[in-house]
Amino acid sequence: MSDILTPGNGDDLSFEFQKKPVPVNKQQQNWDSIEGAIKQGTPVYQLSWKRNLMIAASLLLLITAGVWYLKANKSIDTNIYKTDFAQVKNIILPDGSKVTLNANSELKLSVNWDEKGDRQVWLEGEAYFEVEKKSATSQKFIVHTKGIDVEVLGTKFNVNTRHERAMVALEEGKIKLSLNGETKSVIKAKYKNEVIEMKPGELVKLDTSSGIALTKEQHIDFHSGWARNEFHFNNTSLKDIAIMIKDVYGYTFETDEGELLKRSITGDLRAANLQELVSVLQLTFKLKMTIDKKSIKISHL
Amino acid sequence: MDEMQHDNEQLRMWWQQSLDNDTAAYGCIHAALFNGLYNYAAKLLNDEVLADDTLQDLFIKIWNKRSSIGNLQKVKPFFYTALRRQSLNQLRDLKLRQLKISMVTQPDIEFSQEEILIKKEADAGVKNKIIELLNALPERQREVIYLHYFENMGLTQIAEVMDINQQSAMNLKQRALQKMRSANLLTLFLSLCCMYHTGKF
Repeated sequence: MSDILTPGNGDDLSFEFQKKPVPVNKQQQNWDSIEGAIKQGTPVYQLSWKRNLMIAASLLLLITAGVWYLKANKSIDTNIYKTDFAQVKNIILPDGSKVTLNANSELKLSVNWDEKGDRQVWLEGEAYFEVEKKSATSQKFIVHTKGIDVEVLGTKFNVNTRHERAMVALEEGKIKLSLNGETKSVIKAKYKNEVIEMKPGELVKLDTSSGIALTKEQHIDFHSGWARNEFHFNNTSLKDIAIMIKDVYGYTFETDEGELLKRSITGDLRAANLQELVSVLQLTFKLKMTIDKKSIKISHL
Repeated sequence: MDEMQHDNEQLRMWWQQSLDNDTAAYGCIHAALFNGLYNYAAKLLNDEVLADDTLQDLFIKIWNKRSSIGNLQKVKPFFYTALRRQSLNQLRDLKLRQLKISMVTQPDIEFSQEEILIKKEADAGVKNKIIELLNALPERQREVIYLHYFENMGLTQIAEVMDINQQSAMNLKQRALQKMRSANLLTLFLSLCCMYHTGKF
């Protein structure tokens, strides 16, 4: 009877409300995931002052060295995030912003990331950002890459900096791009000294050889599909897919018939890992693909 | 009312301990508030899987931000307010992803059969009519009713969670109640019809 709700005095209704039961274990499962995430983000080891005070003076030196070691370690842990091939990491930054770091990528945080200054990160590889808005303090969020700096006020976007190029796909919000020192000297484009303001749905490609281009895309979220295990192909050649697989999983395509790489596909697919992806690709391309050590061999069926 | 006060004291203590990095205390807050938050999220988002994920995100986010949040006087309303905001953002994202760009400012709560209990004996038709009547209430009135009856919230808390002033919360509740009372007549009328048909008259 305890979850039958009695309306307040004077409500005088001919019926009562009752709560829907929540499935058993739901709370525990939910908490387990949360606990896992928050324990990862906070140092597992905590020093208790009271305990330390009880330790003999002769051990003091050793302990302070230990503390220093832990602190140094912690700052390394929290300031650089790296992913291996085939590994995707979800990172929650100190301000609550979410970053999904794609495989074979690296994200560095500024050492003096604090409550007041601008929030700055350096990216190599590819990442999907969901930035927390700080409208009260108007603290900027800046992503530095090899060729381009992205300044954000609270938004969702994908940045890809592989292969001497940078690609920024904006899903939501507003961002400003500016070329940084390295590319300024190389690029001879009309945007050279300008700040580019991007609107949702726009894609900016920067290539050190061909310059910079801004296009409007119908399905801008395709660029961050990898963060959801989705792959979107639009007349995409096997050659381009091979480049993506090399970047993300570290496997190289090998074939005796180069012509095969010119075949292309259009469509969306989901795959959680390389094996799944390759088995779907085999079917769609109607080719035989064999995974072997660090390479994928392609031949006719 | 006493029970609520006690709850808040306990929750405040756990939150205080959470501020001192005590994950177990934070787990207690989770355990105490989970069922209510989960049902509310499922109502707001109309999707139980999404509700589950949203709650995980929310608790992780709040944990990471705990030092800037600091002391809390009213823990429960804080979590409900944060959840509501997070859910609205979530809905906005979903709409965006489906390329239906629209601003979501008000969640659309729906009541179902198993959530009401009729005091007098009545057939299923009455229940249906009452659900129809409830779901025909304007969105904001439905949310006020939900928070009041399912979460035992008073007007102050409701106003805080829904980000409206207390007077509006009161007006919404009064208007909803007026319409809900018409269910009384309905119940009476339908049970009379029922008796008539079964020959009890």
